[in-house]
Amino acid sequence: MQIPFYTQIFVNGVVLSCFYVLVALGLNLIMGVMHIVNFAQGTVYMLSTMFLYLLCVEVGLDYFLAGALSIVATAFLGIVMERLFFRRLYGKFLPSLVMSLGLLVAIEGAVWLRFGIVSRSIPSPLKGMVKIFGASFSFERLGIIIGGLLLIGGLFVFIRHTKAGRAIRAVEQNREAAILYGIEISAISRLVFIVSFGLSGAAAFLVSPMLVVDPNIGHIPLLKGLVVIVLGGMGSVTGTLVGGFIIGFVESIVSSFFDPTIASIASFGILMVILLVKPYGLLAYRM
Amino acid sequence: MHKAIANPTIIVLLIMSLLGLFTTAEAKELEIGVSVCLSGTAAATGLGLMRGLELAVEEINSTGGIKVQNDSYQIKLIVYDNKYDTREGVAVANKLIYRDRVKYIVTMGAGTAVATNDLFVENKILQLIYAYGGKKTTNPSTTYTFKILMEPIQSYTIFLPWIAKKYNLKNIALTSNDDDTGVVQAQDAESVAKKIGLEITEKVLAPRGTADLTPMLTKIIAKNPQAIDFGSWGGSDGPLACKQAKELGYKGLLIFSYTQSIPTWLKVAPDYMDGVLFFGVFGGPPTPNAAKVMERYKEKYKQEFDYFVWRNYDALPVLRKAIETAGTLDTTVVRDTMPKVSINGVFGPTRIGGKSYYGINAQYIYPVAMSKYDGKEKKFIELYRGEVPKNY
Amino acid sequence: MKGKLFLILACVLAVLPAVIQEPYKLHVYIMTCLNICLAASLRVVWNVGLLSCGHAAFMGLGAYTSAILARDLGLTPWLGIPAGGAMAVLISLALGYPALRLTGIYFVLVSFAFNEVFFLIATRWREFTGGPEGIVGIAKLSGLPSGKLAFAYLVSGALLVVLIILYRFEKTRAGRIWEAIRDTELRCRCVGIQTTHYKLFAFGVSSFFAGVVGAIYAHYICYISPTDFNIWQSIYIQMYMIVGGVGAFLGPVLGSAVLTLLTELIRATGPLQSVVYGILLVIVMIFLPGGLISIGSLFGKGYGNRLRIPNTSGHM
Repeated sequence: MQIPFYTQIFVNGVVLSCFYVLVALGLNLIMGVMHIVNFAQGTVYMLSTMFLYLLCVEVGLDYFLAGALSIVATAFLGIVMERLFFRRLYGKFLPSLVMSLGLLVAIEGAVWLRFGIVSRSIPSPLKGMVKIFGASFSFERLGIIIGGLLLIGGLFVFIRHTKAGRAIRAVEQNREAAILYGIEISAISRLVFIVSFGLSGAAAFLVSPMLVVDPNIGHIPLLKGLVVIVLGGMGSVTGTLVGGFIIGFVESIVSSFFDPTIASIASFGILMVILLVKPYGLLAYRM
Repeated sequence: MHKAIANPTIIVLLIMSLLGLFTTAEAKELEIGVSVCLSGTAAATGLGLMRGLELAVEEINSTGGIKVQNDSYQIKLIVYDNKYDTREGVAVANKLIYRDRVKYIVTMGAGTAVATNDLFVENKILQLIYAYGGKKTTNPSTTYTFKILMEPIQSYTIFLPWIAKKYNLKNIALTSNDDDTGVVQAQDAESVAKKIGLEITEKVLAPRGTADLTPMLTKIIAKNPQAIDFGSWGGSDGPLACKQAKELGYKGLLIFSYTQSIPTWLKVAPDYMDGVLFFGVFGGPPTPNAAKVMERYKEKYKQEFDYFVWRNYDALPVLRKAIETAGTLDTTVVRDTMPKVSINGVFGPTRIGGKSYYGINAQYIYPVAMSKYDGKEKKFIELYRGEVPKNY
Repeated sequence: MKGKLFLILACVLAVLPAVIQEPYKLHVYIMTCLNICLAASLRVVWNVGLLSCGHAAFMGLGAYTSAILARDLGLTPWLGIPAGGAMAVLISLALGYPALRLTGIYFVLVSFAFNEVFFLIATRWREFTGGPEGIVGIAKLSGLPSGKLAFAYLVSGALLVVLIILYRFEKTRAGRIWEAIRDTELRCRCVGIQTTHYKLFAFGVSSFFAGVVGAIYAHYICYISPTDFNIWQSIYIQMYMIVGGVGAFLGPVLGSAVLTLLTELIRATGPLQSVVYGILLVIVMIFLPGGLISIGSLFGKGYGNRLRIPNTSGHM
């Protein structure tokens, strides 16, 4: 039994890239537009996965319904968190950083208390495999790819072609000028949080069946998400796409030729090198 | 005769024996410290250890506690979270030894055990460790430490030759985690595989919780090994790895040699379990003792049984036997008595040995088994049960 | 006036170990002193307007250098410790030369990436660093009477020296230029100051002390492994500095002492530990964004208000 090595690596790369892009989108919007360091974004992703698990497995809803509800719940969480925590520390780099860390620690601890030992899984609504040029992957992965591309497309349209999206870009480019133009910052801030958290929720919805559900799953999205958005240029959706694909493919190729530890070294190494050459990321200032 | 009854010596003796009848054995407390990981990635294992200890303490306390001379001691556990971090582990050990003044400690984590060995030896504190530490944690200088679970080296030595023969293996691929537990397991797998002449097609280590194991598995499966041993992959990664390997089309033998959480498997990858080999899984509860533990666990915690509990349950019963046999709580005497006792534990006859490998008799030894999951019947079929040699 | 403060500090540090006596508390004391050194040295980088998220990596470089020199060459720890510091400086200069052009969040992420890379290499390069199992049985500091009391005095002394050095640095010309760079880098450049050189200098100084602390740690615990120097340790050090307050020299000192002690105090709460810790962090940051040192601002206007909002140069 042979597998087509190179085709499989390519397919793995596409899946991994879409995963990274999905988890980075939410972080990108918050950090790029609001200039807030939100270390708790990975935790938001994890919470969304938990909602999904609760609704799908414990309450027994259909996966897609549970997904819609959990995205809404996560977006609502965005409003709550913005109002309670982040609004007080606008523009204050250090305190918002430590505060988001505090949130990360507290929320993860609380989820551990509730969930305990057994790691869980959410059964996938799509079963079965697909073969492309001999390389196999499951429908759930295909779902990630398609869902991811749709989501990015949708976000693009939102940012470029809707009034709200343009307002967000205005705030990102020049906050004072935006205020002068009558854009209400607090409304935009709330909107950004809703969209950003909603994006993390959507990522959780698409990706969860492929992975497991446990309180620590927020770490990788945070770590690699940061790498992706800085590589691509903070605030730029295209940048996240490019960054995600670079990291996804690098890791897939290096993991399959060496091992995942070296792949991580390669990812971080690439980030460091690119930043030293292009300090604001590859596609900064181009939303 | 008249004279004999009034003999003062006899009267004194009578009075003394009467006093003896009124001196009841007092119930005292023996505090045992526990340094366990209750947060972070190893928390699942830590919780299993905690619960195993709690159940054992319940059983010991309800059957009269630990009897030393005329006293009986009820065990009380003092538990601290060491977060699987060496720095925290050192702080916890210091606190338990100097502040709480305990003489017996159960520790989880090889790093902590290594860093605090001097502390234990200096203060003569008897330590029971729950970790894959190999010779690092168990060697002639760790004179007050006992390891309560069997290590991969023993399991591989017992099972791998049998597997190789039964499935006619010429080669094998190895994968494991890149943390301290994983590295020990990978080394043990490699050394045993080499000894029995298997060609190792690939050896890959990856961090626990790696987002997607497919790229790593692609590398392994590309070389088409007859079997893949998954080393220390466990928790939620184990079933995922199995699922992803089969999704890639792998048709060879999958071996999971680290204690798996069966409930997790049944939730995450039930359709992919057919034909997979599991170390440490018996056909059903290995002994009536084990069945009882399982019942009590379900009753007390109202959750599905955590199979890790079987591996740590016997830690304290063996200690109890040693203390009672030694007749004292003096840790040095108890330590010397430990290698001489044995109990009927969860897995069967449990004793302490290991000198031939570690240089010191400080390793708990018990029977282990290996099973294959039958997807059609939906149950485990025990293939082989074995023990290390008598003079291990 | 500040001189007197140091005299008081010196007396306190000289007396404290003797007063404490009990080995567990001495251990907490030693770790607190080491944490203070780390947080104070991190603040040096902050003083040029940058937040470094890789401090633990420099600590690790110092620790591994000294441990490996002791293991392979039998070098005595007394020389190993400065060697560790030197290695940390070398690497920090190599990293800093290209990296210090970045500002704000970008520098944070480069230092973050550097820390991760250090951790991954320490884990992967098993033949040299011992891999995840670490280095066992590191030599102790020879000539020191055994027991924690002696070590506590050593660390007390080291802390005093470090704090005095760092404080004096701020008063030198370099120190004042650092402050200028933090507040208005553009103007400094216009005046002809080679800001990158000064930043490099600050980075080197900060890393030196991190490396020294790392080496001391290695010879105290006598066992190190990569997880002792991972990204979380860097984040803890940042927390000590930020929660204490970056506005004043004593901020990190206060922060380290309070947070280290807090960890010990809440240890008994078991699984609730992280929740309590996290909630406390959030509350402190919301109500005292300038850190604990600005607590005076809660009690009235004026005092401590200067410290209320920590400065940050450049934009994110």
